Amino acid sequence: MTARRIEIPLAGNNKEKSVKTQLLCALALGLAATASGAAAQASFATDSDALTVRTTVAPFCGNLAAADPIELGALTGAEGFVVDQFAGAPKYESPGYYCNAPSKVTLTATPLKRTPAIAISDTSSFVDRIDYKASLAWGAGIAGSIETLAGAPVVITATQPHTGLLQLTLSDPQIDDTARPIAGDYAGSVTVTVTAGN
Amino acid sequence: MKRHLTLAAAIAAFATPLAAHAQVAETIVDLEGIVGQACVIGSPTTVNLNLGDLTGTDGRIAAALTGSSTIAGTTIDTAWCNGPGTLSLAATPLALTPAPSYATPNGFARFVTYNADLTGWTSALQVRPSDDSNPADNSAANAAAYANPLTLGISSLATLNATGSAANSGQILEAGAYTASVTVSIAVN
Repeated sequence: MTARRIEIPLAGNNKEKSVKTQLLCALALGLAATASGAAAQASFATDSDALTVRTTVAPFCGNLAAADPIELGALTGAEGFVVDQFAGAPKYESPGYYCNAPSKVTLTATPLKRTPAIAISDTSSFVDRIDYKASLAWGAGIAGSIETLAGAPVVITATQPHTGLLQLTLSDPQIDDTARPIAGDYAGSVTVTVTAGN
Repeated sequence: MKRHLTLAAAIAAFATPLAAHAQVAETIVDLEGIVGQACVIGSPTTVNLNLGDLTGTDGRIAAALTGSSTIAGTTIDTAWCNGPGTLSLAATPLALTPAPSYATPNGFARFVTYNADLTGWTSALQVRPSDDSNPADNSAANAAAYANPLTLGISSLATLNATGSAANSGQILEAGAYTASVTVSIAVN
């Protein structure tokens, strides 16, 4: 900072000198204030604002593909007993299915039942129910199955976000004994429920 | 008669030297001060920029948010330097916070980059963070004093790779809260 400089006259009467002294004092104060202000301004050599950008992605599982009825075809062979496997490897698929958070897949299934139901007089030879197995595979590493004979729902846990082809395959038709299925149409269902969050 | 004239002349002669001796006192007081160099930036009208729901039905960033339209923004009404100064902009990617204990699964992303655009001064600044450990930054120097409000806008979102270090667009966003920071600063050159 440049030094302050004041020129002081050497001659003049007392009254005049006292007036000038007062004026000089006022000026000195003013200059002192300017100097301290300059020192204060030096502290604003840099300044900044910090902003936060934020968003939230809610846990979500995509919509499963619409399911057309799966045609299982003939359920019995030439001898009238239930087939060993369903013809054509019937399956349901939902390509590219995803959950953006850990999730649970719950399988429930009902056995194939003769529809409409009819009374069976010879229950030792004929039945109206065919059980089966439904197996689920979802991308890599997520799989599980349910058997209608056991009955209880099955829960498959995905501990991380997951994406991939979700596929449901039906297999292993069976009857509880060596009886034959009674003739008619049979119907059952498999329910796949996916819930985001564990 | 002659005596009167002489007296008058004498008086006149005396009068002239008196006029020549009229006294004037003067002093010159020099004044000096200083205005220190300073840069000041005021508070933005909005400190927290909320981008809202990012994803579409497929779990990926909605198409409307990947273009150049501003998604969120704010203004800084006060920004000045009374001498040569430099305006700077820095930003970090949006990051899933807190991060899960497991690594990013295949097909997913937990880092998102964006364009942060700062306008209003002589040079517009843009940053696009792509490395969480090294926030992208940009700056522009002004050769003279300048004062003008600033406008910050966020646009052009895209997913990054598992470490947030490079682009990997089109991934599904993991669920959770995402945060990023943007810093606007000015400094004396």
